[in-house]
Amino acid sequence: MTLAIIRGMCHHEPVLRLDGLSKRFGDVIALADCSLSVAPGQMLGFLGPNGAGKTTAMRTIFGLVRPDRGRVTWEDSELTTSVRRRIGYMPEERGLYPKMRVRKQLVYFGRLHGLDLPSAEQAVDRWLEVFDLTDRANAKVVELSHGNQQRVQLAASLVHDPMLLVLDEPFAGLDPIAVVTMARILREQAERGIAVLFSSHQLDLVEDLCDDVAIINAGQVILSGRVAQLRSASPKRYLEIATSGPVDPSWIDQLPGASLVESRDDRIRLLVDEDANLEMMASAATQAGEISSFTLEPPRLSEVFTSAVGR
Amino acid sequence: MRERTTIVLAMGRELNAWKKPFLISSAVVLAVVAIGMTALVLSSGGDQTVTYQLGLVDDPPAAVERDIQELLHPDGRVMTERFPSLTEAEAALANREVDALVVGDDEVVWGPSTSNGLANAVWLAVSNQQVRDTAAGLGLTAEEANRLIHPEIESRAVESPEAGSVADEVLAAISVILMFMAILAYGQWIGYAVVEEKANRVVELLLGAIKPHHLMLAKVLSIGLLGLVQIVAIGTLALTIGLASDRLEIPAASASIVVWVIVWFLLGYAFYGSLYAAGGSLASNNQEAGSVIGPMSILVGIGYVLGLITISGGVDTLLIRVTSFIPFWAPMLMPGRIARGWAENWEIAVALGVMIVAGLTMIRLAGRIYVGGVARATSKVGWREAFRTGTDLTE
Repeated sequence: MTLAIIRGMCHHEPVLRLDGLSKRFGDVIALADCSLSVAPGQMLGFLGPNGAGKTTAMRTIFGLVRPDRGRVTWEDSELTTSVRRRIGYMPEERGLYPKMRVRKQLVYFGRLHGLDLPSAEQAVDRWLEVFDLTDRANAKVVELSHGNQQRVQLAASLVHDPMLLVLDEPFAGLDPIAVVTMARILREQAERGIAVLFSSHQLDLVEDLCDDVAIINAGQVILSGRVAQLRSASPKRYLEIATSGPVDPSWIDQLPGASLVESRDDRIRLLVDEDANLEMMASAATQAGEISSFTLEPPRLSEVFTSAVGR
Repeated sequence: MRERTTIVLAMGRELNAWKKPFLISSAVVLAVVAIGMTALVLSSGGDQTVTYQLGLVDDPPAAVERDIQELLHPDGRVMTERFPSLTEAEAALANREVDALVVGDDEVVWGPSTSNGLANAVWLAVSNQQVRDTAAGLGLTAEEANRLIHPEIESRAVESPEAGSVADEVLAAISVILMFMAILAYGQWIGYAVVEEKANRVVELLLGAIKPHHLMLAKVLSIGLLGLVQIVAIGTLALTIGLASDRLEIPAASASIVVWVIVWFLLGYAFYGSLYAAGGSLASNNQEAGSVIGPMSILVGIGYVLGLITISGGVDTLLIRVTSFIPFWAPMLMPGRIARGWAENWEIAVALGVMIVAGLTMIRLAGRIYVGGVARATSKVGWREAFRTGTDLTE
């Protein structure tokens, strides 16, 4: 079965659903009618500002938070412990036994999630190799660097070959190389048909990695769908002009229907009105310097996000 | 089946995590018990048999020496030395080379090192020999002569109803101390084990695979198993040392007291262990744990103080009788009362019944509080709030 078939098929049949979740902690509304769903093979980026309710929503999947209203279902049935054992979870604040040795700990988690001892040991050795941790297998977790602890944490969520991965800020604190490795592993899991739900503040990374996102604000999912569709659905358009040399952006001030968003040495980014005269803008830009590229594009995911959360 | 496997797995991890502290604490406690019991044995006499040197002149009858040995047993024994003349024997007596002299069958000589015990035994043995000789002269048989020496007199002692033997008191004190230490130590282990899992957030991972009350159960069972092993080891060691010494009078009821201590430990541990687990689930770090677990330890401590006052006071007061039925303190007080022979059978039965009901209720309540508290990672949770949000175990 090709990847395209898996993805195409699965996206129509979500397995995990969060339906109308509401949760209040005292005066604080953590979730307010929050709904989202994830399908097998789908990599869903769960975005939101701090305190928006991402972690609370994820914790409801594991029964760590009991919603006041709404329900969490797996294939339209209530989530049971036996289903939860087939989910891999990476909590926001990492959760490992600091003094337990890496391999022993991973085998323990694998067995708790339903593997027998030989299968657990085999899976752990495989993941230790994938994460380049084989030589640290007998080290205590506390003896590892932050990055390696993060890898062990991800290995703990993968060791039992889950049907769904729920990862709360998996890229936080990782160096660029580790980010690439982790992104590759997540992509591979999604390609195998595993549903992946992860939260992140690294929006450019999410844009590269995910086909779908859900944006939550004040406890409610305010925007969700395919990244490309969300971008193109925005009425805003951005004009990115690259020149062969440094450009003085002062000429933009006289340009009707355009406002400067970002300016670097040889590159400017403008927010333009829908009915802006692109030819006039190209002409103005040419007079300012030699143009190497002239691109009209929908907003980036980060701009869609900022616009959606009103910041 | 799967649930049982996860509980066993969680127990295995817990046992492994506590293996080192358990072995260290067991070694220390067993060493203390061994030293304490040995000291008790030695102070009770043990092998401190006094050996006397007895000088013999003019071949006293063998029966005299035999009588002296019998009269001194078990606290002393004699070594004899024969002297060719009374002069040499008295010189040895004066130089403390011997402790007393028996001359022929009718003379004894005391010296500077003669103790009252030896003097009494020697005097009585020579007197007995004279009675035998006189009886024989009168035509009495040896058996009749012996009856003159050892007339059949029935003797018995009446003891105060409140005062048991020293061994009873020691057993009672050990049971109180043991119970206090075991419940406090193992209860606190549970509390801190729960806090640790909560503080480092590993509990969030665990709860995806194991039901919260099963996780609590695994903790209580595994740490309780360690406590039970330690208590049995301590009891076995103490009894073995006591029985190995023929000088320490071990009451016949000792074995049953050890069984009672184990029974009350299990009940007390189930009660307090669950309470400590619930308490631990409310704290989000070790600093907060102190403020939650501390008051529970005070409760255990109250039982300990009451228990020791009871044992040392030697009186079964109304306060002690009443408090020994209250589940918070029954495990510390009832074994002591049983050891002292104060608890009536009906009292033991009622206290056991109350404790079992209280233990089951506590497990249920604590389970619900644990469920409500353990997943709340952000800050300290109140008892009431955790109870309200916790899922009842039957759900």
